[in-house]
Amino acid sequence: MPKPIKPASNLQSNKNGVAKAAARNTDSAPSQPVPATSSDAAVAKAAQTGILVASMPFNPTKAGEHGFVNGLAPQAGATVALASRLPTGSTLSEENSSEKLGAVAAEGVNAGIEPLDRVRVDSAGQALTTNQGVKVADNQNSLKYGVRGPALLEDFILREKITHFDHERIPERIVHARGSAAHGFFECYDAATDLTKAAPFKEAGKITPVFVRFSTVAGERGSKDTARDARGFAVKFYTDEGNWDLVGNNMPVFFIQDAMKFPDLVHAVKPEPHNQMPQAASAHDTFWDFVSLMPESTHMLMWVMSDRAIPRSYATMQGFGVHTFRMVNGAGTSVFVKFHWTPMAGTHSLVWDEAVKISGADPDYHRRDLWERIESGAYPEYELGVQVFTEEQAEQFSFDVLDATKIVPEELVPIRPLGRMVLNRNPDNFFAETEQVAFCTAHIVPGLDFSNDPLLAGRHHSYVDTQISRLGGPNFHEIPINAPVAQVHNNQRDGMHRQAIPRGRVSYEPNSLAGGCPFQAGVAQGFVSVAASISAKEEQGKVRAKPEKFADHYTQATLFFESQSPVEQGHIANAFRFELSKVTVPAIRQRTVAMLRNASEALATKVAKGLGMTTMPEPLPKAITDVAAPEVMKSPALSLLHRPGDGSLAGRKVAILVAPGVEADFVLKAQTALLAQGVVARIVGPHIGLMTTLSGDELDADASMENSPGFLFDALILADGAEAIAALSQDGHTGEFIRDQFRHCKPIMCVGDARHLVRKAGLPISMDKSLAQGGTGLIVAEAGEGGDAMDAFMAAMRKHRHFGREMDPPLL
Amino acid sequence: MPEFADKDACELLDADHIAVKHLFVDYARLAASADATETEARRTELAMKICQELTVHAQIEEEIFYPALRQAFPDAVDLLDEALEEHQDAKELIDDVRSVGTANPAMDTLVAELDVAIDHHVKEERDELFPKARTAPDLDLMALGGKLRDRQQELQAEAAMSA
Repeated sequence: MPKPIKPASNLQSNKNGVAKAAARNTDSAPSQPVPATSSDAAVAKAAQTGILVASMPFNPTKAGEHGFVNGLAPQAGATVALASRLPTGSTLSEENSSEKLGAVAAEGVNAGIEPLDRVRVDSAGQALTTNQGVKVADNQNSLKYGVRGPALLEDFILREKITHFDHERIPERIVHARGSAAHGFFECYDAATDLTKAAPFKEAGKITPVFVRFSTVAGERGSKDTARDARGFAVKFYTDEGNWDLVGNNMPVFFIQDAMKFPDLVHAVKPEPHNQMPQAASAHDTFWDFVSLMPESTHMLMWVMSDRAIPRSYATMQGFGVHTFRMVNGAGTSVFVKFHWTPMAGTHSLVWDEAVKISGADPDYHRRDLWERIESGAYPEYELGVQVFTEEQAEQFSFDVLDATKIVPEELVPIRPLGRMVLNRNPDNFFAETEQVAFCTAHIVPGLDFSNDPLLAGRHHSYVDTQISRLGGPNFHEIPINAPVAQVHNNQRDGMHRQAIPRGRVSYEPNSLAGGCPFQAGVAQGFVSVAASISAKEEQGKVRAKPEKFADHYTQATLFFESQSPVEQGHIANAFRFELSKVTVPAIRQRTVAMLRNASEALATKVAKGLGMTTMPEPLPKAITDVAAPEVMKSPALSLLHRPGDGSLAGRKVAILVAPGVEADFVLKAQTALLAQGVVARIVGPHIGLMTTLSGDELDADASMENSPGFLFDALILADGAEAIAALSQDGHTGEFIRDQFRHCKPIMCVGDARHLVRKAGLPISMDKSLAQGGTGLIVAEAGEGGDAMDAFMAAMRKHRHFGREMDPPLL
Repeated sequence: MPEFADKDACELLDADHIAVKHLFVDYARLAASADATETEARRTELAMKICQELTVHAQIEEEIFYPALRQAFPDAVDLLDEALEEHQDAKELIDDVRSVGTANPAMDTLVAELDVAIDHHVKEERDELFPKARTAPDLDLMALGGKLRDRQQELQAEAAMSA
């Protein structure tokens, strides 16, 4: 404590004493301001507080809180310059520091938004401790009275360990429980300031960090990745103006039009409540009972029954914002937008038989694929684009843009590319990052806004609500993965697991005791909602009803089906057949087919035939018969064949089947050639380990047919070598390996006598004409010429699948 | 796989099915691609090949395979009549495709329709007719296969000359 200045007189000295004494109380005070010149910290604080408060004699922004015009352009809150930091501190004793305390809070800073390094833990060279930092001498035994005696309650080490373990699990997400995530960045192509003032789009080349979580919808946390389902595609942009979550799906539409039906939909698709079956599957009674009574689901059913619902990889699926959103530019002009993520590697899918088999051999197929792509540098990349249209244009559309069961065809409104996203870092810890990340559709930043889509409105509520219980309270925004990189300052306080330590005593606004801070940002910097009017329906009041165009349940279901290639249409019909065959109540099948008749007679007929129906049910009555003529009758952009991508093979997997006696020169050459394209070629043997090759060298198989069945690979190479072929020929796995590759229409290359393995696997004689014709994806190389055939093999891989081989039921 | 043995009648017809399916898939891939205008020539060529293959295929079925089945299986008459009807529908689509001439969106739609129609027809043959043919006691499928092959080669040679 500095010594007071020598008093000028006794009276003054006494006055100083009065001020000092008064300033040492936390309640009641003299009637007159104390001298600001005092060197006594308590007096100075009281004095400066007085000046600070006096400098705001009234609330100057109060008048501006009223009226519509002011509401569109709120003023910034009033602030007062601080003479020093004294008045805004919590305590004078903040000058005392320690290793734990650190020093005084840095001015105007929330240190909780520092990069994740602040919470990273690396234990190299460290001894094991309790959570209190006490080193643990023995981590093998509980504390007992004698080696055979009773365990003791005082064993705080055991109790802490067990207690923490007992509470490791948190409630899983009600939907999208099964997910995988990655870090990356978004890079803006060109400034899009004509459209939006949103931070990520402000200038060419601007980088915004992102965290992206992909997921299935229905399955539980440990369920298979390759279930038939929509996929979540949720992107958290850590922008310099706050977090923006684009919480999308890999399909642009949804089953329902209003959040009121969300719990019903989810209850219907989840495992049935009496026996908790089936897991991660829509092929059961309650789902089809519900959707066949909800004809607005028809369009989404087309997507979910298509191969879109069984993506090859998270890196090969599109993403969509689903709802109509708004973008707002600096001048306050707003337009409607639909968000599209387009994968650079193309949009590619599995086939159903393959997806089912993968779910057994590798339920983590997509999680593993995403992880391995990033680990190996084959970073998943997507282009972000928007369809832009005005409210006036939207009013002219044949469909309602507030209806989440409708798309805006790309042929009607083309996509404008805005930037690219690259996923280039795996999480350090699944729970801390992927499990604890919390997305919400309501997390937007200035330059973005919502439409009145009633499903979107319900989502705004639902995400935060579920996170409060899932993450144990209202402070999940402070969990490191959820914390923004933008400064966070408000007067929200307390709650479970609060991390932040706010300095000062002010937790309200307006205030003068903290100089008015944190102040409302006003229109210049803060988020202001678009003053959208409710499209000339002022005569309407509160109502529970849908707009008329929502009643057109089938036009776009028809558009989707008619826009698919015949192979894709066949897959959709087969998926309906599969799902409905699993239903136990024939009347539910009948009702669904009756619904499909309104979308596509050809599809309905094919499904009915597949289900053994002898007569067709009457089409379901329509909610409206007089629907607007659609602008687009066929949209090639909806076909997977339209989206081959950039032709890159990076991240793909090839199996090279080997056994002792294999011609290894070719194997190594093929592996190297594939690796150069970013393709991982595994050497798969009857068992793992060393095999003596034809030339007497050794080849180390890193996978076996037992642990890595054929359907896990994108393509297959069968190498030459008489002894190897003889060994593979007598191994039952070989036939299955080849048959699955063939059935799933994947490229197969056989060198020299390895062709006998394909014949033995049952390649039908009727393939001969196709083989002579070419383009089957089956590449037969003469002995010693395997290396020369690699280009043809990789060209076949670029086609992804060769559906010319596909018959129903399968040829092989 | 060059060393395939001779095929019986069902195998020969199925070889046609699979081969034309490949052509349809190639066509659909080109038609759906973003630069469809650049593939006009290739699509036209594929469409004409599809039409020619299917015409010959239908003809040998009608001349040789169906009559043989009709004889072996008097109760298959409904199935065969249906197959003939489907041939008729396919022929109309083939005429439509040919009359469009050069690949364009209209041809894309027609080829897709033909693809779906042929898929349906093939499925019925594979699911219903072939099992009957394969189990017929008095039907020599190998001999029938030989006849089909000879006639097929003859018709293809004719088509090649007139092309």
